[in-house]
Amino acid sequence: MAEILIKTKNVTHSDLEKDRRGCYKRGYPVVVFEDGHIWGREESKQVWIVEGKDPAQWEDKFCIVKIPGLSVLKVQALIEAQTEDDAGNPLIDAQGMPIVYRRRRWKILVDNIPPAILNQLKNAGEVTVIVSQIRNYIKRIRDNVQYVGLD
Amino acid sequence: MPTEIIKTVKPSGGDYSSLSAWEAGEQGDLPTLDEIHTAECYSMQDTIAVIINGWDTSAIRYLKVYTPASERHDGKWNTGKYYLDITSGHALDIYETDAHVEGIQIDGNGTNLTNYVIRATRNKISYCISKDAGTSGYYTDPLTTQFWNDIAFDCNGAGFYLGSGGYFYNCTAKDNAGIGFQRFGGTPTLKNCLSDNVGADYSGAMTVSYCASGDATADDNGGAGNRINQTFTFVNEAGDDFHLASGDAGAKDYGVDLSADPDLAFSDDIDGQTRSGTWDIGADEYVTGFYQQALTGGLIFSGGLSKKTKKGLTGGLTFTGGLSKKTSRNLTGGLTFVGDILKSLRVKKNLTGELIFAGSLSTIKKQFKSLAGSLSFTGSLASVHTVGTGMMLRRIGNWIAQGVRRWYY
Repeated sequence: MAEILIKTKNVTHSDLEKDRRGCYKRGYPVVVFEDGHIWGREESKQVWIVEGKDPAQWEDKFCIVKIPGLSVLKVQALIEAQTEDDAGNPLIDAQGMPIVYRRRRWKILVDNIPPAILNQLKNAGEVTVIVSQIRNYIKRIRDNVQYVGLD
Repeated sequence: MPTEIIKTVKPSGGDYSSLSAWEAGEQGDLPTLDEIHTAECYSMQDTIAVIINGWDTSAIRYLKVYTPASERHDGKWNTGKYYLDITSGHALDIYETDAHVEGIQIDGNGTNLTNYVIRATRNKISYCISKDAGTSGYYTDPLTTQFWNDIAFDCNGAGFYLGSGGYFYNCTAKDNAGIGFQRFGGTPTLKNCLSDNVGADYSGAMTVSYCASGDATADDNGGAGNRINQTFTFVNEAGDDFHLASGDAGAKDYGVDLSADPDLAFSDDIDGQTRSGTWDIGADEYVTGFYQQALTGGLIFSGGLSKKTKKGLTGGLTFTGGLSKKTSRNLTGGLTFVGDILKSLRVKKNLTGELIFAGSLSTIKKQFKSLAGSLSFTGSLASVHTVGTGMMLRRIGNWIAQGVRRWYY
């Protein structure tokens, strides 16, 4: 099982270039781990609650999608930054070092997923799904191409 | 004054379970928030690369990534402490100004790109270790970034790959396949750096002083105090422990005092030990009598102790001479002073066993979280400042004090 930590709120910056390259947006995958990962209290609403903290005080920065039977290697690419421009041209500096164009290359269309799953995410802060339930909602940001790495 | 918001990064029980998630959760406009955002990293293997990007900072409202002393390497590579373990891409890529990185280890496994990438001004990188980067250990392009007490070793490219400028003081580049300190732009300033690599040790136009090289390159740019063709002797070079050995003749006592340097002033080494006398070259300062590791089995000084022990001590500690400095961690097994205590006694953590003073003691100051055994004085004690307050008093079993003049509660 892979577990994906996903940003649920937009971070914004008035400088549009900085906003694009640096700021996390709702639906951006943040980190991925194997099944059974021990999350922190700021990452997991369930950990927050288990520790006895008031659910109303949960800041709702993240949610967690768990996908049973899926190797974490198949979702590793989701946490890569976009280092090409929106035309697909790789960006490197004078020393040949990749430059981040957008914070993430891929995005999970959280608001498009089926309501039952979305409600679970909103209420519990995490949801367990199978690949077919999430496959169609992972898109490349620059051209909306679907992520095929899950299969 | 800005408020410091400290979040922990821990394998369990923390605010975050990776530094990357901390960055995602805490990024923001720090001057507007009037905050400092700090990631306190605990011992763990962190496998997710980190990009610091999208923040607003200022010189006094900065972000800080650091390891507290108990979670930090001991001046050499240590997988028992916090480290980033990255196999592809840049391990820690900083796009923003005013990021302070302190005591972080990075292993690039020979397959990633660069371990530390610094792309903006006013960043501070200190007490860090960069190992086995796919290319460079440290890559920096900005003008005013400050590096001190950092080590790069076993990297496939340069240890330190330097553009535009910046200050590199008491850094060590060892056994890198590329060049130790390689300039590709600007005029970086190097002082007290040690370089001994497979490739050349220094390359490019830099301001270099009081630096040393295993080859003939340390004085290629002129400068005072540089030493070429040196042989360095480390505590355990084969084990990648680059603490200077007592017999070192290449770097020990050949540096310059930077404690009042106008561009970057500091006064300790990668272990946090105070540099004194004529400084050593490189990240480590050789200090006589400093014991760095946990010690099991007791320790007896018949001639006094002039320095300090930094880690845990199990098995008792007996001084028949005096004590002029302090012990700063757990002490299990009792503590006996037969001689005088010349300084205030400070045991920051727990003391289990008996504490016996046969000599005199000027003050006890801020010392115990708990004292499980008894405390007795057969000598004199001038004053006790905080030992008798609250819970600590209740934990003390049996007090025998002769000649105590004043108690402060």
